[in-house]
Amino acid sequence: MILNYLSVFVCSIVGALACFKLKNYLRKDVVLTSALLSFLVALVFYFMEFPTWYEEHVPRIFMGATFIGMVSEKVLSTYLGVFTAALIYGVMYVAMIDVYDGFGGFLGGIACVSILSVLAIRKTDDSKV
Amino acid sequence: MIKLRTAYRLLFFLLIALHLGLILVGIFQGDNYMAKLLIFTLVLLPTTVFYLYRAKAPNRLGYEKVTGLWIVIAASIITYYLNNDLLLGPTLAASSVALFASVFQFFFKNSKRYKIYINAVYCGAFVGMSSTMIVHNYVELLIASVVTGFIYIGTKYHLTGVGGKYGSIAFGGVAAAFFIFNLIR
Repeated sequence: MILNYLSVFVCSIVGALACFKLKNYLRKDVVLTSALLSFLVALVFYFMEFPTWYEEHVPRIFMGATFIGMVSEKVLSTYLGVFTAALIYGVMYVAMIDVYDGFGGFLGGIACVSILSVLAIRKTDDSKV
Repeated sequence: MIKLRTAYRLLFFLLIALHLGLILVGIFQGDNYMAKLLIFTLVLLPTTVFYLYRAKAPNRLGYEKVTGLWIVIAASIITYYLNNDLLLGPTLAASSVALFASVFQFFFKNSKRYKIYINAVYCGAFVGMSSTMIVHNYVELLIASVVTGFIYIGTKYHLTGVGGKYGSIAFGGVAAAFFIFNLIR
């Protein structure tokens, strides 16, 4: 169980930071970055054998985390901010997945709320939201 | 007849209600007390503070063209088919639809219209990620994607650049369809 929780947070952080970094590196459309990363992870978990819990949850957690990485630099520009948002996203996923399992848009919803939480607790007020 | 300006304000409040409703239901329905406390302190309070003090209503009112609605509906149907009929799973289905659509950016480099529509594809794909336990058939999917499409059209200048915006919108559409069909049954 602890390993499952740990994997949630690892996937959240890796997904968010990877998408944020790749988005800045590629300078292409954010949808392409997020979709490409999610597609690769989903493909690995579709064709390879993993324990059921990981097969079901890891691609979803990763895809949701890439939404955090899609945040515009004008809104949230620091890695620390993205990291914090990913942690909050992980907490929300663990706490809410039983309630919202199967709802389309749930991952995007909690990703958006976690970014808003970070924006609210930031000291500086340069966001253009 | 509601004026357009009032309609856009209502959509902005709908977006706020969606986020706060999502968190509140999570707090009240969850079994884990530690998780409830964490969501309350880490998420509900800051998000409410954000909406009370930081969120600025957009200084201009704008909407996507109605084509966005059709794209949302088409993307949701394709994703739902890949997800539940071909059993690819929600992540692979949504990401493959979005990836297929975003590959076209290399052919339409200077098209502003394309950039608008790629977001509509991703938004629709999120609706199609729903499982058959929540969205039971294509009629319910159609209602969910139409509601999503209308919210998508009206929230062009709301929360721009915040990741997960289109997911929130899709969640609103799916939740609305789920609520409507639960009332009917």
